[in-house]
Formats: sequence, C-alpha cells, structure tokens
Amino acid sequence: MTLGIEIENLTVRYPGVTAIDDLTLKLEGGKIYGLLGRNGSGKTTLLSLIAAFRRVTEGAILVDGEAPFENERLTQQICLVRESGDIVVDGDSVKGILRRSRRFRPHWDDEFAHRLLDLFQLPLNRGVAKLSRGQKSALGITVGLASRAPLTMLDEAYLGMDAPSRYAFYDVLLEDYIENPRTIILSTHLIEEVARLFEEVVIIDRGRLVAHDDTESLRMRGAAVVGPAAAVDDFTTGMTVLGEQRLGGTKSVTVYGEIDPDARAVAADWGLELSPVALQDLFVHLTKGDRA
Amino acid sequence: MSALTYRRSRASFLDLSAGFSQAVGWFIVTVAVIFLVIGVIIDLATGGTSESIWENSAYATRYFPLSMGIMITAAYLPVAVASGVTRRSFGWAGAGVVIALSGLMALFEAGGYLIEYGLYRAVGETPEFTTPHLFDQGYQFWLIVPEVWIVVAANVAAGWLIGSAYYKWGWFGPTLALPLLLLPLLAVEAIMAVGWAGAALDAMNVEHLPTAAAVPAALAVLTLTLAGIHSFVRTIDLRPQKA
Repeated sequence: MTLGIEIENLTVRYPGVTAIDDLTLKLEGGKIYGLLGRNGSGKTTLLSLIAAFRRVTEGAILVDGEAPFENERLTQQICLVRESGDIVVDGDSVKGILRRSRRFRPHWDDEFAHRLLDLFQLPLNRGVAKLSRGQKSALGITVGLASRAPLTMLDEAYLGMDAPSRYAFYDVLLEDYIENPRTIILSTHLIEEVARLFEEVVIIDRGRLVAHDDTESLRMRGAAVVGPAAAVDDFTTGMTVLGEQRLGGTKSVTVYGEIDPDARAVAADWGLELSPVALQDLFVHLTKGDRA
Repeated sequence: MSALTYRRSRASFLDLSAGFSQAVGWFIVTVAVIFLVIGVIIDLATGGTSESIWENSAYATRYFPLSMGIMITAAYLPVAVASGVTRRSFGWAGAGVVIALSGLMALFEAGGYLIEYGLYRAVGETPEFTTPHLFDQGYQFWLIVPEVWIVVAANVAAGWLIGSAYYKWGWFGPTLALPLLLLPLLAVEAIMAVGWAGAALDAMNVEHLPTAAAVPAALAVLTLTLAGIHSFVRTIDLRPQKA
C-alpha cells in the first residue's frame, strides 16, 4: 500500500514570516522523494502539515484523497520522524520506544526493528537520554523504517549518525523499499550522499516550489564539462557557470541550462566530456540568495 | 466513537498508563509509608491525639495527580500524534487517565482510612476528621470512594487543562489565566463542600448541598470540564522541536 499526496495553494504564515507560500505540488505514491531546501525554506513545516502535526489553515493537503488532520484512518498510515524525535518521553528506554511503536503502528515489523537495532548497535535496555546523538538518530530511523508506514517521511532524521551508519541506513532503506514499496520522503542536507536513493526531487526555497522532477531529468538541466582548459573555456562562454575546478591543463566547469544536440556534437568534436550536473551544485544554484 | 477510534484511544490510554505507572507506584508506596506506617504508629505509640493522620495524605493524593495531569498533553500529545494517533483519540485516552488515576487514588484513600480506623479501634480510639467530608467514619468506603474520586478527578482535569494551555500558548498567557484555569476545580470542591473548600464554606456559614445533589452536580461540572478539554486538545498543533 502506498499513499499519494496532493498539495494545493498551501500557505503557512508565522509571525513575521511566510513559511510556505502558495505551494502546489503532486506526489504520486510508491516513490522515494528527496525534499531539498535551505534552512528555513519550509521543509519541516510542509512535512509537519502532511503528517497532521499541524492544522492546514490556507490551501489544502490531501493524502490518498483525504485531508490527514484528525483522520484516524490516515494518520496511522503516516510516519514522520523529525531530527530529534517526537516519539520519546523523558525516562523512556529503547525497549519502551519499540513497545510503543508496536502498539501504535499497524504495519510494525518487530523482527526488522531488532535487526536495525543490531545494525546500528543500539542497546535495547538503555535509556534514550543516555544515547548519543547519533544513536538517537538511529533509533528514530529504526522506528521510521520498522513502522512500514505507507507514507514514511524522514526529516533530517539521520543527521547525527556517523558515515558508516548512514551508508548502512541507505542500503537497508533501499532493500526494504524494494521488498515493501511505499511512499518515502527524505528531507536532507547531505544531498550527494542520498541522491542515489531519490526517484524524484522536490526543491523548495522560501516556501515556494523551485523544482520538481525525476532525478535524472533534473540533473540533465545542467552539465559538467571536462576537458582541455582552453576548449572548456571556449565551450562554456555565455553559459551560466555554477562552479569550476582545474587540475593542470584539464578543467571541469559545471554549467546550468540545457545543452542541445548540436552543442553536444561540438563538445564531442573538441574532445570534451559532458556528464549530468551534480544534484548538490544544481541545488545550490537554484536556491542561492543573499540571505545568511 | 468508531471501532478504530476506540482501538487507538485504548492504545493511547495504555501508553499513558504505562508511562505513569512507575511514578504512581512509587507515590503510593511513599504516601502509605509516611502517613499510614510512620504517622499512625508514632501517633498511637506516643498516645497522641485521636485526629486522623491519614486525612493529611489527602493533599498529596490531590496534588500529585494534578501534576500528572499537567504532563498528559505536554509530554504525551507529541508522542501520540507522532505515533499516528489523532487528537480526538488522545483526548479520550486522557479522559480515561483522569478517571482511572483518580479512581485508583480513591481506592487507595479508602483503603488507608479503613486500615487507620482498624488500628485506632484496636487501641480503643476513633479517628477524628478536622475538615468536612461526605463521610464521618473511616469505614464508610461507599462515601469515601465517590468523594475522593470526584475531587481527585477534578484535580487531574485541572492539571490537564493547565498543561494543555501552557503547551499551546507558552507561559505568559496561561500564567495570567491560572485562576480561570482552576475554576472548574474550585467549582467541584465548592459543590462537594469537602476539604478546605468545605471548611471555607463552613466559616462563611454557607449551607452545604445535600450529598444526593452535590455528587451529581460535581459530576456534571467534571464532565463538562473533560468535554471542554477534549475539544481544546483537538485544536493544539505540535510545537516545533528544540534544536
């Protein structure tokens, strides 16, 4: 079972700031989405509204065709794990968290949860307060994945984990997603690390939709041009340059904008190599502004 | 209430109960030791007054559950919503906790009065009460249970209302509005005319309602309070997390 999401003209205002600004977006069920945005771009607010943590006041959010707020059928199918975890009460142990999840999550897989605890080396009987930040993140991930919620959203939930744990998480997420397809939304700043998981990417900035496309199409909006420095400079003249690197006589320039077949043929003649742009470079370009 | 809402409310009630059980267990042991074992034994051994020692435990069995009530929304609403429970189901669970916790306290209090009565009678004394009650003997558990149940339920409900208001609006507004937030509790205690409220009414020569009228009236206020809190909780957005 997977759940699709439709967002129409969604606006959220906080005192002095518009967190979400007339956002319209449609996400089909059964895919892994990357939700990218700078700090304060509205990612967490958006996910909180989808998960019914907050009430929608302007516009609409429909999950599986219905508004999720106070919708018992839907809320039990939606799991949002935020960075520092909402599922913990002071004094809870890891075992207690698992007991709670077993009680509330209709698709909970206890065997999978214990496998994840072993993978992340989380002690079952330890109090959550005594866990390191990375271990708390791993616990959130464990609950998020083992809940097998048809709509699973992880909001920077793996930020505190060390690199080996993060890579183990990426592998296990993909493996479990293939066995148990569902809609997964990953909000992250570790773009290059997670990019391989994304089937589609949504980029928001200042509460507005900047881009929504499948990952490959998005990466084809630009190119990394690599070859002899002089040829690269000539080829990229007049293009929007996102970044450049030079090593001896070889230069790599990342450009934004579609490169038509004729230009690609010229590049091949000149001995230049064209490859899709890195998602992170694209993200930086699309969301750059003069704020801190 | 749909079957699904019932199941989710029950799960949320069990989660809240599991969370509170350890603290409540320790509280009961502590109060029993302090008031019943140490207090009564010392009083009887030293030939002290025949005033009820256990009666003083009533303050503990009101204010501790009140503090538990404060935690219902503040600590458990985010957990429930993040676990896919609606506020409606959580509200039912919270109301269940108010009734169950106060019921437990009522049984505990009634048991304490009964034991104290037996101990005093064993040495030829009868415990005397210093504040007004619906009962006048420690063995009258059929009056002690409803009195304590209703009064403690009003305290837990007041705690839940206060905790919910602080969670929704922060500290400033609710602090100013504390007298208003305590109004349902004061109303229940005044209608029941027990404890300090009963003593205050006596001091003002205000006539008490007959028990047959006071109990249903207090229950009505309590029911309205719980219904109001249930509606209020359904409007609460989860707060953003601290970094």
